[in-house]
Amino acid sequence: MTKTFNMNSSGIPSLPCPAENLIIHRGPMLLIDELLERQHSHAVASSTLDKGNICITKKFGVLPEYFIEVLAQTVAAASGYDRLIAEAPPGSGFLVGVENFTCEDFTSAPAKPQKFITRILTTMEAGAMKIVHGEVFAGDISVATAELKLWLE
Amino acid sequence: MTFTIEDALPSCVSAVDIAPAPDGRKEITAECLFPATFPGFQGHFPKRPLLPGIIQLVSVRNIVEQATGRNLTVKRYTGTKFKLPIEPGQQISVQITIEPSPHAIQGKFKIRSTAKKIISSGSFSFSLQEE
Repeated sequence: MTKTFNMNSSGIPSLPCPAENLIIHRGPMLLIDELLERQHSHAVASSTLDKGNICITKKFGVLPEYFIEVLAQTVAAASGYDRLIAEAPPGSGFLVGVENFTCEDFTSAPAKPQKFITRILTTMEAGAMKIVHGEVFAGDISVATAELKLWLE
Repeated sequence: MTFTIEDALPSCVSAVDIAPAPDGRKEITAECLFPATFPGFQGHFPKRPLLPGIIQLVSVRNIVEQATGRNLTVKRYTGTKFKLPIEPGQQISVQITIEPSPHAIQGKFKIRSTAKKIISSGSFSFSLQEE
């Protein structure tokens, strides 16, 4: 499949950029919508929790672990964006560690589309290994934080 | 109809057992097998399906819920390491040690392959949910 990208005046793919152009996750496991910002060591992405999401609970909330995955996919999308600028296709990546993950209880939240914003900051990078601090927001409210360790191609 | 992780998970977990351990702790064991049709494999990844790390964590929480008969939510995961991949149809064993308290359950888990290699491990703190 040929992908097309909007470019800015500097020839860099413009943001927001659909996540499916940046990461290899597909179908129900593609949990983020777009990469919104990418600068130096930080990135911002959006995700939407609707009724078709596989992480929805019986009480119409969301599995707490969902927030770990959207943070990890934000890191992968940032890496994918860097690769896109370098004219390389999205690479593979794996979550290899989670430290200090905490979150608000959304397991029985109301059944309505809920938009989340994820912010990640890379705190250490060594070869393919990255350690990031990540935070998920619902509006202005922080709902989850974690330190993630990922291996990214 | 949406096929969610929460819907699909119970049929992947079997042989849940809980037994007393020293110092008031409890040992929980279980077996898991995730078929290729499990929703977590769909698109993760298209050319090589692998069980997402978060499904391992959801499974640990589900097993503790089954063993204790309580609904739980996450207070904290820490020290979690994912060392080896889990492929569709792969049998895995889960070993969990918990320290129950009135409002929370703290513990550690290890997930092993049939060859006894550690696939993942970590610590958790779960809150008891109101019924």
